[in-house]
Amino acid sequence: MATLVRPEPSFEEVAEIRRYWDANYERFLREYPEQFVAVKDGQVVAHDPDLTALFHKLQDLKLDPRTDVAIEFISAEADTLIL
Amino acid sequence: VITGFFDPARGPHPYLTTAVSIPLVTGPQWASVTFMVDTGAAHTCIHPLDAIRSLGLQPAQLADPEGWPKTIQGRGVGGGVNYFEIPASYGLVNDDGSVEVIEGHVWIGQLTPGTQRMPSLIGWNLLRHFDLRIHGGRPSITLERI
Repeated sequence: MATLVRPEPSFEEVAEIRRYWDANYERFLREYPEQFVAVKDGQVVAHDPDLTALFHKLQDLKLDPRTDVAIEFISAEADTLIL
Repeated sequence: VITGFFDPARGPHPYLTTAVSIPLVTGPQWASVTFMVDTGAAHTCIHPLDAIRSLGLQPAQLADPEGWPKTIQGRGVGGGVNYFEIPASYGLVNDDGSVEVIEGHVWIGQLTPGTQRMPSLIGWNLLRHFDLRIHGGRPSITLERI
């Protein structure tokens, strides 16, 4: 089925963001372990172990979590996840 | 064929990026959400991190069941979680660019200390529409519409 679906961000942009996190993950793991990290233009603009606190820090900076930054949770425990 | 990916930095699990449209949240727009493929999940769910960074929801909205049309108690190996069930459309993109659109619902996880870092999950309400193939050796994951 061919349907016009143009998500924001695009899948290509999502893949680019993922490559950025992968390339920098070890460094972030050393500097911000078990924290949410928000990056804008390659620079960390906010970090916090609590997602709500990070959201409010971004609000104070007048940054939209959806469109202005990339956010990831940095953890050494990803391979212990049991759902 | 829809191709997912493995990402060693995030653990050994398979992932799939999907377009999601949730009229009550995103209006007519589609958002990209990367889901962990979870054959143990009965239903597809978006947890708070993706709800905030991909859908634009606010923590206060995600913490409060008031304002959501329906709340469901989900059960997992880690315990119970409240989910807000709302209508959603999913757009899964084949490698040739064509799109498989599936109408249904999504469960949005209530924001708690325990859910804030959980990945979003593709569950059986979507997976049942596909021939799912996972090759652990390469590793690779593909879905083909049945």
